[in-house]
Amino acid sequence: MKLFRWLWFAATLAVLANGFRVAMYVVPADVNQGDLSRILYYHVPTWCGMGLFFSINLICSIVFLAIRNRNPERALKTDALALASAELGVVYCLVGMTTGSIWGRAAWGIWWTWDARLTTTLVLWLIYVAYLLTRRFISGPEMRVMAAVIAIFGFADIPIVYMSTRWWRTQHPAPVFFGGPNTGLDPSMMPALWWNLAGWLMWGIFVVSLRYSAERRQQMADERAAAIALEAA
Amino acid sequence: MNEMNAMFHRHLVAAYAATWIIQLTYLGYVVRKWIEARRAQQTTRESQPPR
Repeated sequence: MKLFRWLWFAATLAVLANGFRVAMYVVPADVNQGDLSRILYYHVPTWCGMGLFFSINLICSIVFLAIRNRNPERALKTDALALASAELGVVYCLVGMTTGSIWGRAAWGIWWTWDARLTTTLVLWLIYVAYLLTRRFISGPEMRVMAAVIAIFGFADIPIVYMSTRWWRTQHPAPVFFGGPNTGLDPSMMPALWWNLAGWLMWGIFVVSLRYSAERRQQMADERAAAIALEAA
Repeated sequence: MNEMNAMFHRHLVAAYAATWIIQLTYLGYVVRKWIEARRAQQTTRESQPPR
C-alpha cells in the first residue's frame, strides 16, 4: 500500500509536470487575453476537483448517518473519508477563488465583485469551513452526526453555484462547457486542460488518501486510549 | 500592447504560484497530522498493559 501510494505520487508529479509543459509551451496563447488565458488550465481543474471531493463528502455523510448504529466501525471509516474530502474540497475552492480573483483583476480590472457566481461560491466555501470548525470545536459523540447533517445541507449550494451563470446575469463569463451551441474550448486547448485535470485529480486522490490514513490512525489511537482508561478504572 | 502582455504574464505567474503555495501548505499540514497520528498510535500501543 505504501509503495503504491508513493508510485502514485511520482506519477502525479509527472502528469502535473507534463500538464505545465503543455499549458505553457505547446498550447497557443489566446488571441485576446494572451498568456492570461493559460490560468484556465489550473482554474477549471480546481473546480472539477472541488465538485468531486465535496460529492465524496456528501456520499460519505449519507452513508455515515445510515450505518452509524448498525456498523460503527465502518461508519468511522466513512467519517474519516468525509473529513479528508471536505478539507481538500475547501482547499480546491480556495485555490479556485484565488486564481479566479487574479484572473479577474487582469481581465476585468477588479479583484472581486458581488455577482451571483462569486457570492454563491464564497457562501459554499464558508459552509464547508463551518463544517470543519464544527468538527474541530465540538466534542462528544454527536459531533460526527451534526457534521454529516451540515455536509448534506451544505452540498445544496453546489448546484446553485453551477447554475448561477445561467440563472442570473453575472460578471463571470457564461458557461464554457455544456453551455449550448457555440460554447466550449478550441480543440487546440484541450490537451493542456486534460493533462492538468488528470494531474490535479490525481494530486487530490493522493492527499485525501494520506489525510484519511492520518485520521484513521488518530481514531484508532483514541479508541485504544479510551479502552486503556476503562481498563485502568 | 507590450505593457499589457507583461501584465498578463505577471498575473499568470501569480495564479500558478498561488495554486502551488496553497496546495503545498495543505500537504504540509496533512503530513504533520499523519506524523502526529502515527506517534499517538505508537504511544498508546506502548502504554497498553500486557494481557
